[in-house]
Amino acid sequence: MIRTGDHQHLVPEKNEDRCTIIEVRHLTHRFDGGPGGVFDISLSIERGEFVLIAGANGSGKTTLLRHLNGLLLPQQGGVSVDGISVAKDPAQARRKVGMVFQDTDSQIVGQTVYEDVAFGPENLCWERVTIDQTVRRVLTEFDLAHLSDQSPHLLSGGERRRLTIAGVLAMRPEVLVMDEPFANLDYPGVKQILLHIVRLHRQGHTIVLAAHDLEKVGELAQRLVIMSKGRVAADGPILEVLPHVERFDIRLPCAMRFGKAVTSWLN
Amino acid sequence: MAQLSVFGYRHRPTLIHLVDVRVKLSILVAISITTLHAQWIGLMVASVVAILVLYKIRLPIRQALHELRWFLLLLLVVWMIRCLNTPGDPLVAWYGIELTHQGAVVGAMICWRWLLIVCFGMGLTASTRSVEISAAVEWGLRPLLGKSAHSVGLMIGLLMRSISLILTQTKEIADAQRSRAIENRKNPLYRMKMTALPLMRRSFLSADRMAMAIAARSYSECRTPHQWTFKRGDVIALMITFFLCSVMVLA
Repeated sequence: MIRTGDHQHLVPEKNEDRCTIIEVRHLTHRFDGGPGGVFDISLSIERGEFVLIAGANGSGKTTLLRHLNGLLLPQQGGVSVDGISVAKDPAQARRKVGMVFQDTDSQIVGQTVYEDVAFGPENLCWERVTIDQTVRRVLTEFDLAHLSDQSPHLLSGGERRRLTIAGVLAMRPEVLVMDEPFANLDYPGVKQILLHIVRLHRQGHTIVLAAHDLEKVGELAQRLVIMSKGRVAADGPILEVLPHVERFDIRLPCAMRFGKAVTSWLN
Repeated sequence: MAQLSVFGYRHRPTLIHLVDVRVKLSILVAISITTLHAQWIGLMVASVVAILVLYKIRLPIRQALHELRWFLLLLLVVWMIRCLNTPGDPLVAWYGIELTHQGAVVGAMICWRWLLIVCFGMGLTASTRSVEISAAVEWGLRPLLGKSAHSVGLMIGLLMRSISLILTQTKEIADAQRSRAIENRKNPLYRMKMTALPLMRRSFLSADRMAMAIAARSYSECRTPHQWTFKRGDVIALMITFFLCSVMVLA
């Protein structure tokens, strides 16, 4: 870990030997008529890593995440997934990087739970038998099998969030990108989602999760990337970066305020 | 949790749900055209069929009436115009304005036909997933439009998905406005403006987000084809429809 620049930004030392799945190089994306966007972002994410991206509202978290599976394409710089440029092959990036959006209502397109989970595999032109097997397996994993014929609009907030993750996982992505997955969830809902995230990480998925609240997931992630005003302000192992977060308008987890270690919501 | 719109799909273990969607669409087209040409007895037959369909699907009638209230108002306006415009024996006369008996009968027939077609349409949307309807439309249009049929199918699917979303948003916005005492404003144009503007903004934003979410899940024209389920029961359904349509026309 080294400190650079006048802004005392924390940037990790490069380690070329590790197996990188996502590589972001000098990424810049500006929006017309607004201050938002991302500027000169460079970071690499390793296979199987659990990265937490934190920052205040408007810091550029969502813009960065949307570049990871080609929903936005860089104006300058580049993003590659598993060595292949996202700009050149966005379809491949979307197969490898599954994205869970903050707003569940806009993400759910099926009129039944089953139909919504099957939507992604159908887009990948899988055989009908394979789709059926995959959808049933994923629904069982996420405890949604008994709701397969239910309308998604009748599900609770936690069930809907699980459905959005199930819909993405049915496409068997290597990387799971989640934008504020705990938004609008109650305590049991947050715990359920956390359990699934931990399970998916243990199964070998690379997890990239954006949040502005470190309380819920701070203890579980391995690496913390802090974004501020569209730039990476700090990046490193979570325990090393956490003490500096209040400098970037992010609240320090409650336990740390009292000088204790951060505890998981699952304990 | 939200309440389902009467226009949304409702999963029920009924025979109507099991009918092949292409057959259902053909039945809807046939029975709607027949309804437009049917007279009293034909309309009564169609009404019995519509009531049976809606009963089997267990569509909540009170909610349906509530959601169709503006359409019912439109029907009332159409009926009034017919009463006023059709020459005949005066039913009510008031300062030279006459509501005629013949106009009332003709107007009632027109409104009855429209209402029946809407009821059959609700029966279709409540018993058929939008993805099936768009696949059937695509299947039907493919010989005429070729690859463009896929875009038409997608548009229909998204439109049907959006209707329930827009209805939910309308209710949320109306509730928010009511909580801030919009009902104290007597100007209906002002109230309409205060609902329509945020609704349009939210609808466009939702459409944008939905398009992005669909793209994120690798949507393209190349998809696993829809699995059709044309069985003997579908042939029977077509034969029953042919018989009913014949009765409605000949009666």
